[in-house]
Amino acid sequence: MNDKIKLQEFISLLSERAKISKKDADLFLREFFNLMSEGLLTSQELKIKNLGTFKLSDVSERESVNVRTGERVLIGAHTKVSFSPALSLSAKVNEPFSLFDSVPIDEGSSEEVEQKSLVEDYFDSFPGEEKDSNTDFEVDLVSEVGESDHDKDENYDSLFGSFSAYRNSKNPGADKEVPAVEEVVEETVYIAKSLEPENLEITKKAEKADLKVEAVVEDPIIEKEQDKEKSEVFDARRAKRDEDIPFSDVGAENYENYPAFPEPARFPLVNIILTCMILFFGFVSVVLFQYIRHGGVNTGFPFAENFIDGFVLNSQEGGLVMESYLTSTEVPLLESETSPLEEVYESSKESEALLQRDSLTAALAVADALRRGEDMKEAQQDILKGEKELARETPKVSHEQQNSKEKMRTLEQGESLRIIALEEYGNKVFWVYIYEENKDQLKNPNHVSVGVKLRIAPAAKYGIDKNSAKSIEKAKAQVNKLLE
Amino acid sequence: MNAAEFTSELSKRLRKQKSEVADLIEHSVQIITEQVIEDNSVSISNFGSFELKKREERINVNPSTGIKMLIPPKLVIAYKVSPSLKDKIKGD
Repeated sequence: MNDKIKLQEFISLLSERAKISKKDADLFLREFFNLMSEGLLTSQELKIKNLGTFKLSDVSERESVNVRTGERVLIGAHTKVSFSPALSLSAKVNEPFSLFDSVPIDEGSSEEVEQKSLVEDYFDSFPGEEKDSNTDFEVDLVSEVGESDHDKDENYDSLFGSFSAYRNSKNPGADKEVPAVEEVVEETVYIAKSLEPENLEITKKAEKADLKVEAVVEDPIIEKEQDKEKSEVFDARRAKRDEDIPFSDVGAENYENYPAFPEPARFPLVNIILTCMILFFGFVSVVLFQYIRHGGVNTGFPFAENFIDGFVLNSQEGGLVMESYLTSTEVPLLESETSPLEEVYESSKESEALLQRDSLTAALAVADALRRGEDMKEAQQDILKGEKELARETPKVSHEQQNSKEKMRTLEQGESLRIIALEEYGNKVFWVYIYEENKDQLKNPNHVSVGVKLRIAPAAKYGIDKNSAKSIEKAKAQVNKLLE
Repeated sequence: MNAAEFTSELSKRLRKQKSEVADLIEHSVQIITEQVIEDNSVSISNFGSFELKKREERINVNPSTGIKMLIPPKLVIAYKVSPSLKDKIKGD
């Protein structure tokens, strides 16, 4: 069993069997197989008695597919060798399965219900019977309807013989069920020929080969019964599930059947909504946090500029001047409606901030002077200087005058092009012109590093006029073009 | 090459009697049969191997009549050609 018989073993088997020396057997077998090969090669067909026929057949080329790669592959024309065993040999080999014949299958008849009950009874009536009774399995099933001779056969020791005997004893007048028995037999898939005692050996061999011979026969009957049982059980369960329990019947003891809470739906929508809200608020807070920390727009949020102009954090002045402006580009309608007011508001706010800043600078200069421990006189001079500066600077940053000279402006921490534009040109939209002017330095208008020296062109160069709606529109158009 | 031709050729090569050779052939075939039935594969180098195989049961439909037939499982003897012999055949 599962051994590989090679030439040597073959030789010893042959020498033993044919009563020849091993040497002779060796010579014979080698020549035997050599001749087989040669004969096959030369004459395309080789027949050996009781063994079979070896044939060479030509196969034309065909296209096929490589299963792994899916490529089409060409299998070339070649010769294949085939073996067809002799009838006697195949019969001998198939002996364990020789019990069975092919049988036509007849599907779905109305006698099924009757059969099922009969089959159930059958199984009930044999309590002592072992399921796995291969060796005892002597079956003499009959395929044709109407044949009842087996009942009278004394030696007939088949399952159905006893069965029908049992049935008859139970219901003496139940002759009509006998034909039904036959119908059960008809449904049985295999017909087994009657076995002689010697054939037990073969069934044992079948057992050995683990081929489940008898199980195949039993299965159709058992399966059917099981199927029926199953469907019955399902029906019972379904009925129970669907039955309506009237409210009044629900007592305390019945509460255990009721879940404590309504069972959650498969997709808890509420949970999803809550999660989304939390995430959204988290995101918003992160965004805001970024602005507070970096104090500007150029923090890597590409579209943030469109929404918030940024919180300006002027840490140098030691104070937290927070101003937020809504930009004009994203909300054009609103902007145009309120623009004059907003401008005034902005400009006033801006000038305030500037004054604050410059006054602070002046104050700081004075403080510095004092700290340095100079003469009061000199300090006074410094103070005057500071004030002069203040006086000088104020008209300078007055929004009535446009700055006609070109100047440089270093981008400080917390500043943006928009803010500078507002300072220099009077409207944030004009940042595009700052950008245009400094295109060589600024690759990305959204990211301007601190310390970049920006050239501030005179307003006339780009036709910047904060008071002219037309110029504002033009600038806005430029902005849109840039941001596309 | 039918059986008779094979036997005569073999007897010629072995310089033995035909009857003797025929007997030996019969013995050899019986050995192969017995071994295969016991699920041992017989493999001869440069020739091939004989082994036992099981064909599963299947349902056949006769296309003209439409009758379904259930064919029971079956044991068969199968021959596998050895690669060297296969090459020889292909080479021809």
